[in-house]
Amino acid sequence: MTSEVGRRSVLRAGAGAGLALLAAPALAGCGSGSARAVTEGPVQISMWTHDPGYIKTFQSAVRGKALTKGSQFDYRMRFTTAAGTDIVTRMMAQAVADGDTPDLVGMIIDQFPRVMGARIAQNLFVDLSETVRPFDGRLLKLAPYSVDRIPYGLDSDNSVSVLYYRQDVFDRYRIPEDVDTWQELARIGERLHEQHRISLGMVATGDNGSIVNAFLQFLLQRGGGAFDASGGLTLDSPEAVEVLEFMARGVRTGFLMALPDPYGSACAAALKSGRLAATVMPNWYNVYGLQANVPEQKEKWRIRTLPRFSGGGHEASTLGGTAFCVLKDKPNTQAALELLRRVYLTREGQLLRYRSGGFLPTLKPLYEDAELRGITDDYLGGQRVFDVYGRAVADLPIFYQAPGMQILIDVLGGPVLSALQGKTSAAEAIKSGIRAYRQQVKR
Amino acid sequence: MTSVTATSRAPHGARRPARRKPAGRALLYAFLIALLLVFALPLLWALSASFKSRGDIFSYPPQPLPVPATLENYRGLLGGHPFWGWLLISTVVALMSTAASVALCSLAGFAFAKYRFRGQNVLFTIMFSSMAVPFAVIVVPLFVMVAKAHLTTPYFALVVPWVAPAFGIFMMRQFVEQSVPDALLDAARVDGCTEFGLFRRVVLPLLRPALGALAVWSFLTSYNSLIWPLIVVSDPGQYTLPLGLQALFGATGRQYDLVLAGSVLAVIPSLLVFFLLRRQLLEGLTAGAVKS
Amino acid sequence: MTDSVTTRPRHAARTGPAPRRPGTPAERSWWNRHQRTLAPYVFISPFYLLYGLFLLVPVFVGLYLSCTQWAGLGAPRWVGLRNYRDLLTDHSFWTSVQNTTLYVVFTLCVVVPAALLIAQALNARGLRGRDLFRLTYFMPVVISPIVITLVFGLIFDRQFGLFNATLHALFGFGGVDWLGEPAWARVSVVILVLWRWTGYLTIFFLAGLQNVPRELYEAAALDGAGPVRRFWDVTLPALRPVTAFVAVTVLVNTAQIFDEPFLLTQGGPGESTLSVTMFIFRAGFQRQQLGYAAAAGVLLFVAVFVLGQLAMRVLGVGRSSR
Repeated sequence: MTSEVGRRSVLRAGAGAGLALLAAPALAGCGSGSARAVTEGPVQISMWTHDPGYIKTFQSAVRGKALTKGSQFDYRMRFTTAAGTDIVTRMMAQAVADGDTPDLVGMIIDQFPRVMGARIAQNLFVDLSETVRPFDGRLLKLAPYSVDRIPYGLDSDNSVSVLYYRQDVFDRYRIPEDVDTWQELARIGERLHEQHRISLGMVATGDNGSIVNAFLQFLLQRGGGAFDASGGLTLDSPEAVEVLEFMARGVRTGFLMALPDPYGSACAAALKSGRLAATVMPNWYNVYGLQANVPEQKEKWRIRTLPRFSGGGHEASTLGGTAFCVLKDKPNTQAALELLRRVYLTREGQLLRYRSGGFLPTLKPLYEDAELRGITDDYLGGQRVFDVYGRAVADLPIFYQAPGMQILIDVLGGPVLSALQGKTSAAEAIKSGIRAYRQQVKR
Repeated sequence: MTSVTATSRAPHGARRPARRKPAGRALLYAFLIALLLVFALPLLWALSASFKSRGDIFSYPPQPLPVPATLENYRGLLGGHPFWGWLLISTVVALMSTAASVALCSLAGFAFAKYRFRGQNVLFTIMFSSMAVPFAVIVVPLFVMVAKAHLTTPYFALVVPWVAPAFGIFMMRQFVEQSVPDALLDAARVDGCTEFGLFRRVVLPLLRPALGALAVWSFLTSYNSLIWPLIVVSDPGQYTLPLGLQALFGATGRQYDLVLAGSVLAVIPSLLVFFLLRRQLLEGLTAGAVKS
Repeated sequence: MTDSVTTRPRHAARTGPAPRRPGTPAERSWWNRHQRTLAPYVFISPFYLLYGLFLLVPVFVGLYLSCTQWAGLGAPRWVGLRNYRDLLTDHSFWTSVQNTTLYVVFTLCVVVPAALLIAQALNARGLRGRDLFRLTYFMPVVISPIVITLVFGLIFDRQFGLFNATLHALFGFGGVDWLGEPAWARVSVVILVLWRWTGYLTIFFLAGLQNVPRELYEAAALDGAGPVRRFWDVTLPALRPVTAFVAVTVLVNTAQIFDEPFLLTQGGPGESTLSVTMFIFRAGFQRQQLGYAAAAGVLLFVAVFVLGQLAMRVLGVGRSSR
């Protein structure tokens, strides 16, 4: 502990050196380390998040007492909501100024790479290795939040991608609900679009983040990825080219619909007009995408596991998520870590999370849990969703991130879009994205 | 006081019947009304959409009117979020900034326009240069300073650093140059007016339309600012309106419904300011009646 | 307006014999003797005070950071001029420079004249509903940026958008990919700039028009000048200071444009609408390359400053009022 505090003051002095001009006088008189750590009794945890679902989760966890029973802490929560990118920007600014950082922070998965470089995660967040050790192998989705294989965040949601489809449309046009491969579904989709102008999936053509995410979602399923566990770029693969070709062909034939992003007004219009009758999206799309935009299509939608790529890969994919991290060396660090463990790493906590916002468990054994298996989803026509999620989780790809993730997204967005629009070949697009990445990542 | 017998001019110079041909008039109105539609459309869309339920907002084909109309969004916003608090903080902060910057900018603009003093050119260039400083570069150091001084309360941090913007000074300098004749100042000096008296009694009255424009600009700049408040204000109890709306919009799934209701309500203070200042903006005094 | 102001202290001396307020005679006379010299310094001091307090230090820190590698936390590492060197070979940076140039040229050549034209129209005598027009024209800057994102996303969408539907109805074609095709995306951003700022800029021109003495128009009318001539011969010269101000600030502000491309396309597709300020934000607040961002900021500053000074020369700002 002392050595850590020591390192932190060195760090602070380092930041101070950079900002010495302005910070020097104030720095001397400032030492947040002087506040004593709270080890028991009443404690107020300051939590920053972008999602009301997490507020609901932690609020009920603390109020309900069931989850905090036996804890030496008496928890109260203080929530700050801000947009996902803003949370990280603000947290870093506050950290530089030794200001008001949160005790517990929820960072959207695509924001986490911002703290992966320059030892920022190591310096800001508690190393969760000890916390997750008892769950060895049973706890999913640590990979995207690990730096040098040390986890710094626990995901709030397993974010399992499945195929959403309009059962009524499938019925009407006699499309089998259990098509085995993407190639087969693409053939059906082509015909459907030709005859009825209905598409069975979407690709994003708006901002770079949406474009690349949609691409990665397919790529992960196909067995490819952006990075490996040690942060090396793995995009340069035949799988990447194959997937991009598949998507481009889909756009050309109308099997896949090109939309700016999966949440915006155009997508809502596509869903409403009935021209989008199926799509690959994660579990959270049910609430945030479908129920929010097309409540009137209740009971028409179903989910199933993804069709396979005939070339291989997985039966599921993943997209999205939010890492919860505990800030280190603060008075409330111990209390916040304890709370996070109770809410995120217990069966009750994970059940509560599902009930608060449809967030899927990250503890693998829970997919066999009788209570969860029995859950039915009204919007999806009373479907037993965990039958699907259970199968998907059994064959889920692992998503790794690296500090250069944002750069990759920026440089890959343009070429992938060109390929989707048929202006360049898939192979060329991947190649030029990689070339640009190598140029820009050096800084 | 003597010579400042500037006459007030009626805004709608209806002294004489318009000499234009009716066809020209019709064309003018057609042009203005077409523009009106173009400029008003998004707000009208937002207004209509704010009364639709979440699922109807993006219905396709688009529905111009909210049928069935619902107050659900407004209820959700006002009941679930401290919206009035955001509005209050934003408005107070913006009014403080406006009052201060109108005073300080017109004073400085007057000095630059109507005095010759040592170092004037260098000082003007320095002032001008501050407009060219990209905000993204200074935001972190500035924040560290303000935070170290424990001055992150919105009433300080969102106001004081920004109350004498170069933009406003430059603007006032140009307007003073255009609308305040030197002869008038000299005459007032002859009558024993102090330098500050010149500003107050000669310059300010002549500058009214420009002051109105500057006030509108200051208010909007403060009221709409997002990035600086985003970094400075971390206490949700002190959120400004853009921060609050941004947080709603940034939530998973984007809470369009609440954001739209909020955006519609958020327009009110700005329009009110504009409305209150509308006479100010039009009713210029002219220096036409200067006795020389 | 005659040759003026430069008349020096003898006026101050003349002001001398008018003290009415209390105060020791010595003090009064000292101030009276010097007030003409000192007043301008007093009047401009608030700006320089704030400048010194809140801007100078951050600017120097920014300069220092531009020579470092810094991720936002921890010690910045000194790298000398490497960031600048890298910028000069960074394709993304040059793309953003090109785009920004386009935005600036467009705003200066289209938005500013349009605003002047509209102001002139609004200033027409005996116009009914003037307040309503002005209030509405001012709407685009009042409205929340989020609404702009939503509405223009709807308008510009390729398949479901209003623009293409209208084009289709009128001309029978309408497959323009407004936001997905690089060239069209830039056009869309420019349209948004036009929509958002034209009405607002009319405020400044209108304010300026209020102070154009009507007698000038009447004299011109007596000379038989038509409306177009009057505009060229009377309005434009009289508005010169205001026009210069609008042009220079529009130049300076558009060179730092962020909102419009960000709201509409977030710089996409690819990087085809990326502006320099977006480039800086992206480097600083998405990639955590704050040193690199600062270097780009310094270059932007230099460019904007030089261009701004140049524009002021051309437009005759800063030199004394004749």
